[in-house]
Amino acid sequence: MKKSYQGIEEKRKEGDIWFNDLKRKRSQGPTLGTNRYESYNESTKAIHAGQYDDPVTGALGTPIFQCSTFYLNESSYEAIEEGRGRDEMIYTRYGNPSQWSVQEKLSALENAESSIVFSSGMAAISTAILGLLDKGSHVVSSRDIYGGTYNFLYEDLDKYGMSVTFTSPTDIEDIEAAIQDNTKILYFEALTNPLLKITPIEAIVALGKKYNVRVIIDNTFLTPYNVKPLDLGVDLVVNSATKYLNGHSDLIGGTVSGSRKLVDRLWPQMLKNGGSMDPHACFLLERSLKTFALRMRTHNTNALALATYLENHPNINKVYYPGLASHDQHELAKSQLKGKNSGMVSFEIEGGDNNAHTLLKLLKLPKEATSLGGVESLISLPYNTSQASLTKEQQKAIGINDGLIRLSVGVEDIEDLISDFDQAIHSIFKKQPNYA
Amino acid sequence: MLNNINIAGLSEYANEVKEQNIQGKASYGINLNWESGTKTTVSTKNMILGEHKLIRDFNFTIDEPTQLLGVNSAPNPAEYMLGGMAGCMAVTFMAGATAMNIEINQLQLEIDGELDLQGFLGLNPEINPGFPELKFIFHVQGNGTQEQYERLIERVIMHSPNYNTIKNKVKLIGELKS
Repeated sequence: MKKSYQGIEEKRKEGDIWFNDLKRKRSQGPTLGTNRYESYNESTKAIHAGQYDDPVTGALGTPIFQCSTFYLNESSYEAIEEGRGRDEMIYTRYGNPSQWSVQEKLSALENAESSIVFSSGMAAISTAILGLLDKGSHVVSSRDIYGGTYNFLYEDLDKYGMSVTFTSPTDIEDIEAAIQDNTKILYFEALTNPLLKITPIEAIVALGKKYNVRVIIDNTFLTPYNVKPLDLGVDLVVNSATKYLNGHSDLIGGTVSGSRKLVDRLWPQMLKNGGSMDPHACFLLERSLKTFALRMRTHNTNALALATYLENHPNINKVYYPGLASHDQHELAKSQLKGKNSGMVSFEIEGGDNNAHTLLKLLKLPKEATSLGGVESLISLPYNTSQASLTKEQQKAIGINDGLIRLSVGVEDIEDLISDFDQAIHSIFKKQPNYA
Repeated sequence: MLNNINIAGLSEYANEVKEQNIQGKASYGINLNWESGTKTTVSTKNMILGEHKLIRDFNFTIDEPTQLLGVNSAPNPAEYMLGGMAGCMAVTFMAGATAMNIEINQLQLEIDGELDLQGFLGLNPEINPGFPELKFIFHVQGNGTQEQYERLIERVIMHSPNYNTIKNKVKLIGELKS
């Protein structure tokens, strides 16, 4: 139901109306009125949900609505008056059919009532955090979180009269001990960078309920294909869409999904911070998401195969991958990820950072670049990229050992990836590989 | 937005509470700390609205006029009480006006009362130490009719929480910890 006054216009004229008479309820969306796909599986949702087929031309697929503004009419004026501008097309920063289309697809994939797309992952993250916090609030987060988020929490919350405590992402007692009287949000990443620790989502949600605080999970490394945090009771899930969701290393974007109630609260924050997604980027993201499940299946199976190969290689000292029995949290991985694991693998090569650098030069397929989640394999060293602000000692203290390499396994043929690693490692150590 | 009040949001919240009564439960509290003489400071406790905590990081000072032994640095308790009631009546009035589609250009509330300090001073047990009566005046300018404003004031009397706290009998449960 769209209007607050629907069916009570007469009563309203007589002046005998109170809040219990108002009719508008929250509903999913906003929506372009496309078909719903909640009951379908991942690939079907990824392909069909949110797609808007133009009724005038019969063109199949969501057009790119590359416009900044929309014709105003009676309905838009009424929406502005009532404060429900999120449900009308008024101005592209407020909403645009290209945004709505991809948001509906994301909501289907996240099992969410509502989503907003942003111009970057950090726009999504900063808006979600600021939108939920009150003056004087406190956030509990983890030392292992993405550097951009860490900087926002550590450097900027102060300016708003808010504060943060960083804890372990996996030790529930440590997290609980950090909760203060003014704590409002528990903010964690489902899978940490670069050591691929698994955050125990259900235990954190239980803490949230115990202390009446909200839980936000950044699911960029796992994506809704591998785990759906909202199904586990999380309040909001954020993603850098730049990574797996888009998957082609050709756009910057972010997403927030959750209940309509909470996402509606972030919308005015997004309007003020200005991080709305451009319609052309929406088109790219919506189109890319059609192959999301297809890509994720291959990322996962390739990563498991490559992690297994690396673990069995005599010149690789350690492999971090939740799907391996050697992973500290393999049991949690099995229950939380239900065998789907991840497309990310981290490992330590014998001979430390020197050999790690050489390996990156010798590999022909994985691109030496930061970021992750693209169809092409991407590889980098945490010590001089994501964790570069830490000293060697500090890096060691959080487990960034000499020779640590982070690999985003692409969707190339696994035989080609393994033989590429084989030739590169062999060139470094000049001896025969031990795999059959 | 009419009167800068999001009536769609209010409608959604009203309907949410209709379906899930717990979302309408709002718990409030304050801590008061005596500073010196007649001066005290109040800090607001966190609220719980529905099942979630709201951080209420606010505080204010209370004092008494010098004639009543204070240093006159802040409003006194009676003024805060009247201000709290007026603020609640005003927001109830404004939300109601918005629901009735009335644009309000100006709203001012006046509340006046007289109490007899003989009660406080213990000079006469017959005298009520509190306000025996309070008079309020709504000064309203907008595009509504006299009749609509009267109906709105009736609604304020029916629905304003602070008005009703003062009007109705409140159970006050005291305890000493020393």
